[in-house]
This record gives sequence, structure tokens and C-alpha cells, in this order.
Amino acid sequence: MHARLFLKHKNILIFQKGNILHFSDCFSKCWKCNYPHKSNFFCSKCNALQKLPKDLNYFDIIGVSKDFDVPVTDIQKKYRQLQSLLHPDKFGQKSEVEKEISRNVSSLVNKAYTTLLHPLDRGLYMLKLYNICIPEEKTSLDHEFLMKIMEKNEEIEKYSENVEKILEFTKENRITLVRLTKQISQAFHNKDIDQATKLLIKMKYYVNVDNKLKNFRQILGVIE
Amino acid sequence: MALWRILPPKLIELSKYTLSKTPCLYYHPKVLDHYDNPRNVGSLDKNDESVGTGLVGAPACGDVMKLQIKVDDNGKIIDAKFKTFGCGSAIASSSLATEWVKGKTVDEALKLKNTDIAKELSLPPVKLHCSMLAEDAIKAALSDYRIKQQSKTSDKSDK
Repeated sequence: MHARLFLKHKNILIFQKGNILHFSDCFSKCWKCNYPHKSNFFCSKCNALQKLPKDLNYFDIIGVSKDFDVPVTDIQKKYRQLQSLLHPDKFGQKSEVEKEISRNVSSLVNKAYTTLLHPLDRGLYMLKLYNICIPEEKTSLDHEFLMKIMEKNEEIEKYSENVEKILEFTKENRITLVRLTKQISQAFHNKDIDQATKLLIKMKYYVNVDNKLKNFRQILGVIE
Repeated sequence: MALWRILPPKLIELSKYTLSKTPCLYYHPKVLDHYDNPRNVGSLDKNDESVGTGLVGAPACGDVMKLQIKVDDNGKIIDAKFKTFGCGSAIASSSLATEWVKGKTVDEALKLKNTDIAKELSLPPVKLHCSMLAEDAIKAALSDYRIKQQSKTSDKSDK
């Protein structure tokens, strides 16, 4: 060993041939050839697929910035690129170890992708990164808001067989969701996590309404 | 589907029985019963002085539940209605809650616990919060009724 390496953690100093280098990225050894590699998916020496470090969040995995406003097209593009390299189908001829790693990494990438794709799930995941979880049993919601949601649901059920009304409600609800997305983005931008939490709770209700409308559209045979 | 048509009727009945035994069934039959035939769905006049309205929501799942009670002069709950937009367990919990509070006095209804509802419906741990929501709805309806009664008596004493 001509190089002394202090591995595994972020912000580590690496002494290499007397030079001190500072890396903020995660380093670990390749399971196959022992070569220290940066937190890439593949070893830069032997090209073997690597296990992912445990501390990576979904944004890191997909390779986009940790931002609520990250464009969906970027997420989709990166996801497709990743799966074209990581999918278990690509590892049919490889060793069992690599097959196993591919299955795990690929399913993790899928999970990251589906979580980041929808604004609600993305927002809730960002709250999780701030260590905030929306409690299941907390029922002290704004009374007026609950009333509004109740009335909306009742109205939808009343007109569940009226195609025009259902389409009108869908349009209305979509506008509300877009507005909420913008507000949530602003809240995250201002680092106002309380506000983001409140808005995400509201969004959950409107997403439920959206799903309900989708269901009715399917029953009515509306083609989109 | 073609297979169903050519099967003798008795065998179809049998297959229903075996299907209900498969582990993919998530809800308890009692939950399904309340879900398919919910009791006391509807609304009471919320401006009526003898009616208490409870409106609660579960933020994590985006469920909303309205439970209303109508109380007679002797403090007995003579009618209860609910409306829930949420999962099957939430609907079943509130349906059962209206069934249970009917005929009880206001004080008796206050003693109703979410654990009783959860036990009756055999709710799994992940669905316990649905029964809590029903309990909260009853409590909210009762407290709304009490507030109405108190303001009524204070109105009278003012006169």
C-alpha cells in the first residue's frame, strides 16, 4: 500500500503520496477489486456494479439536485439512463453477486423515481429528509378546510354520472393542484418547512379528490 | 370468465368460500359488510339545536369524516348519521360508531373507545388510526352539541 486511505465518511482527508487531498464525496472500496472508487454506480477500474452507500437520498440516487422544483423531464431522463445500465436484464451473464446487487440497486432506483416523480410524494419525502412525518392520528385540521373538502366530495358524488360536470371538476381540481405545487415550491424556497407541511397535507386531500375523479371518469368511459 | 359459466352453481358457491380464505383478503368480513352496506349514511340539519356535528380529518391519509348526532330532551341519542370519504376501514369505523351511539345517552357515548371499534372490526395495526378518527368524530359531535346546549341555556337566562 503506497497510499494511506481513510475511507467511508464524508469530508475525509486522503493522503496520497504525501499530498493531502480533500474530498467531500463518499469513498468506498470496490467489492470486487478493492479499488477505492467515488460513489459512482460502477468501479472505475474493474467496472463492477457497486452497492449504494446507505446515506444516499433519492435525489442523490437519481442524480438531481435536492430541490422541490426539479423538472420531471430531468428525473425521467436520468431514470431511463440509469435503468439502461442497472437493470437486472443487463446482468444475465454476470456473477450471482452482481445479479443480486443489480436487483437491489435497480429496485432502489425505481423507488427513488416513483417517489420523486409526483409533487406530493416528492414534497413528503423532502419533509422526511427534514425529519418531519405527518402523524396519522392528528385530527386537528382547519375546520373550514375540512368543510370545503367534505362539500367538494359530496358534490362530486352527486354528479358522478354527469360527464360534463366530472370533467369540469377535474379541470378545477387540477388548477388547485398546480396552485398548491407553486405554493409548496415557494415554501421550500423560503425554508418555511411548517408552511410546506401544511400545504402538503392539503395537497393530499386534493390528490385523493383527483383519484376519485379519475375513477369516475373510468366508469363513465371518458378517454383522455 | 367462460369457466364460471360452465361450472355447476354449487361449485361456484364453494369457490366463493375458498376465495374468501385466500391470504390476499385484507379486510375483515365485518369491515366489508359495513363498507358494502354502510349504516346511517347521510346528514342531519347542522343548524338544529338538538344536533351535534363532528368534522374530523386524518392528515396522513387525506380522509375526512363527518358524524352527526340528534339528542332528545332526556339526553338520549335518537339518531346518528355519518359521511366519510376515505378508506374502507374509516367508513366501517364511522358506520359502526353511528350504530353504537344510537340509543345511548350523551354520557355513555363519551365512554366509547377507539379500541372497542378496532376490536369489533379486527382492524390491523396500520388501520388503528381509522378507529381513532371515529372516536374523535363522536367526541367532536358531542362537544358541538354541548356547546349548543350551553349557549341555549345562557340565552334563556339572559332573557
